Amino acid sequence: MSSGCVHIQAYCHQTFTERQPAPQTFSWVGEYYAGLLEPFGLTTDLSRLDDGMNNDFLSMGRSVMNALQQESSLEDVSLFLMAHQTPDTYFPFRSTTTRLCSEFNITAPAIGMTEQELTTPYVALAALLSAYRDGRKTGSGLLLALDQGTLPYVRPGYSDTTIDNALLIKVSGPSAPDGIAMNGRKVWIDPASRKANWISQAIYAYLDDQRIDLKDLHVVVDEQTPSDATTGLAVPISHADPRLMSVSALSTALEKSKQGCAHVLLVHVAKNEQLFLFSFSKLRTPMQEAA
Amino acid sequence: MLYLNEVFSHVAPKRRTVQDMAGELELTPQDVSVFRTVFGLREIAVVDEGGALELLDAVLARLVATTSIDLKQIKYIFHCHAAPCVCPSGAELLQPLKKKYGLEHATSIGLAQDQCATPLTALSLAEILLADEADDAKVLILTGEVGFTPKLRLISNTTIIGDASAACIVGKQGTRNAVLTVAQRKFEMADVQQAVGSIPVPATSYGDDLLQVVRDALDQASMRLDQLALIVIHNVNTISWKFFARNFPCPLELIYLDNIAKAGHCFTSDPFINYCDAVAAGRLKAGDHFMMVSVGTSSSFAAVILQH
Repeated sequence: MSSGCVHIQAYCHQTFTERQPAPQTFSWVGEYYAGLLEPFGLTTDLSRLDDGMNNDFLSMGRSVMNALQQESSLEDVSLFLMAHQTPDTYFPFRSTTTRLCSEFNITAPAIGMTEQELTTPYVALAALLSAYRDGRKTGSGLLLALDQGTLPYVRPGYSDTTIDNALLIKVSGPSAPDGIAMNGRKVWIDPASRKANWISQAIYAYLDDQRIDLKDLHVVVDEQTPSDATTGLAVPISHADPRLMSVSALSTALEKSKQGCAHVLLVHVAKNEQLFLFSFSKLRTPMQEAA
Repeated sequence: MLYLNEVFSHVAPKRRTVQDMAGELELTPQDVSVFRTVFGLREIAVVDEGGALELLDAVLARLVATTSIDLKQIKYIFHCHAAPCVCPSGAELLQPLKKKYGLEHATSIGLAQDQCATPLTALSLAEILLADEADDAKVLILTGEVGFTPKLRLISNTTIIGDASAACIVGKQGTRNAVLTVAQRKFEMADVQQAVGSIPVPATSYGDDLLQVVRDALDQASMRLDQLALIVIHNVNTISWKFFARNFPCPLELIYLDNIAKAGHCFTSDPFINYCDAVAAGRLKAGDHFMMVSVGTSSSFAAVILQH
């Protein structure tokens, strides 16, 4: 990731707190989950499904797409990415992207990115940047990030308090006149150096390149980022709510931008020791610039 | 431009006949006869022990032993699977393999929304992500999963699923298998996707939709079907490809059907397995144009034209 930015034209984040009817079940669901879970030393507890919120991906995706459509047209979509960490409530096979493309008349390539190392939303952001920066692709790109917590097992290593939620962002190339400018960089963390120091240095280098002054900066970190990685930065820092899963850091960053922060830096350290940095800068109108 | 630099495959060595599997798949003698004689399925590749991890391990071992590419060049790993999930959320399927084979530096994600067509549609994402990487950067597309219950082995009146894995290294630089075009379509088949408790059956328009995506790919590449040396397919069954050959039309010999009877439909791995076997059998010469085609149960169709 390098060079030009893209513009976030619109976004919509929704949480889904109302319990929905349980999806239709079938006789071999226990057999399926046993086959899926046992190789990983996990056990199935189907009773957990009885207490679930049952918000499926299609309903959540449809909801944020309908809402965003009120603000910005989806007619020029040329790439549609979906990212999630948890599986859908619907089982066994349904393609949310196919259904949403059909319902919203999207003919662009649509790609779904699933759980691996919890980095999917950041890879999706990197893909949007790569696709639309420098005018490489025309039209606009969509990222639908979403997760739900109705599962018949305890996710290893995670708290059991997932909030069903979905975030949809629409980006376009840098020629769009308004919105939030997004840029980013992916950096290898040198294993020979002390990780936190190295991350700080990488952050400073990125801010220099982007000409972002510390006094205008707000930093957002997710729970995977080492706690001491950003403590040397004399700037306000927000910790993303891990209950929001894939959406957490990105929705926090966009919210901070909406609240008036001139520049927001999202910091994510992936499990493979790779540092993802994304900056979000409010675009100023010509009138604001003149003032 | 994107290139398939190297392709590797591994098919589970054990074979079971369709008749052997009839009990667990709840097939009647008439079903068995149809699968054998009409659909062309005879033997199905199945794992003896283990699951997706073992399949992926086998193909990665082959890759690491023979690749001419520096593994450090691999920036991303896409694990393409047909089932929505192949490991529990929060668990790590690839991590031990990345550690074992020196791939820990690579960022890995799963791709699944296009089911069996996923590795072909993944080429679009690979091209996008590689645009921001160094010229020698690579994406490793991995396939490999198992039907760990009988219900995951059967698409009613369509095919039986086998077990296999494949690895395909793609990059911006290369000397063979240049990707000329990637065509993909998602057709609206809401009725197809309402199946509860089983893998959805392809829509009745499957044959026509397949013709359409192949025409899309040819149009995008400004080519005709008779300029292709081979069509490398997903092994769903023979009858659907006979329909394709009759209706496009094209000679049936243009389609690589050899593995349908030998292994069954191996989820996302078919195009890569068939490519490896076709090359080994001398069916592709340097400079030949060929096509890879696959279809997902959600009516996701993908066709890719390449030059060997």
